[in-house]
Amino acid sequence: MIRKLTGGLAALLLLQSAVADTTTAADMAALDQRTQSLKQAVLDLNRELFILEEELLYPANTQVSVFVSMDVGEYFELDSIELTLDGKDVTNYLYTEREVDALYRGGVQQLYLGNLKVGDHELIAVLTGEGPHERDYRRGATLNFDKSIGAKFVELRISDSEAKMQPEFIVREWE
Amino acid sequence: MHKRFQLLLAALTCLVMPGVGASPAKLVDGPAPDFALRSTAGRNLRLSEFRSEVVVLNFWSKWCGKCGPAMSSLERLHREYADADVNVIGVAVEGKPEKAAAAVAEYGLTYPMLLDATQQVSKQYDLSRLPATLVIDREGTVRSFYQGSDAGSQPQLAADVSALLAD
Repeated sequence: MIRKLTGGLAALLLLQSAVADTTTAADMAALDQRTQSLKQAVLDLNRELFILEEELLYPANTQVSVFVSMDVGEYFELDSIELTLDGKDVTNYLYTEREVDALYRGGVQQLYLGNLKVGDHELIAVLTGEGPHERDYRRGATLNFDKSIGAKFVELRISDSEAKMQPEFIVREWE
Repeated sequence: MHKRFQLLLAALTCLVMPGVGASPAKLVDGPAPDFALRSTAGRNLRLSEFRSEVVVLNFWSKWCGKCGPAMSSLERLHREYADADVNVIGVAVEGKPEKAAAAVAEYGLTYPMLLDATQQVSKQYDLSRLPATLVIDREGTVRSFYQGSDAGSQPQLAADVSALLAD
């Protein structure tokens, strides 16, 4: 009788422990799910704020963006880019090793985001760095463009000219 | 939606008034303003690339008498935490690169020394006295600020750094 009672008690304790474990695991899973959904909500809100901010500060009608990309880069190690728009310095960006490496690996950087009126404009980019034979290199690239209604995207591309064994800097508008 | 608008308004206010909260004492518990500067070794360094590590940022100038001893003290700190995620970074305010390089050699500094020749960064941090040292945590938040003779107080800085490493 005592043996039966002890066995029953042990079985009850085991059952209780199993139920408690299941409840805790279920609670934890629910909490984890709630945390994940809260995290997602924060990310969504942050994204919405970013878009709203961009729309307010840089309306599509006047927006101008300048992007930097690199193709190979064997003859040039980028150090800095100075950007002038209509004679006004708009940015002077120093590149770290990590940033240059990201560009080498195909990254595209938004160097400048601003507003421009409709009409003719001049963009000058002065690039400095280390050129062939480890020499200091400083070269300018100019783009004259017509800003119409709508956002304008400009790409500043650094590539190698195998024929000249020199770096090449191309500034072009994105259609 | 109303809350979102308020949040956006607050964010925009911060954007159009960059001077607000820029004083180093006011910077404590706030984000350390990001910057990129050229170092005496020729490399460019950006503060935000040290995120996830503790940074001890020291501003100094050749004309400041207390700056030399502070830098010697920071060099000891740099060596003490050489194997930890701690970066001591010096910023030479004004002056020519050669003078900063000479100071690096004179005090035997092995930590990176950046050149703020145009004082753009020291203005960003709104420094009124030199030397000035900021301790920045792994998240990029300024946790303490010292200036004058306190800027090189090794026991205090070591205590701050140890506390942040333990966080």
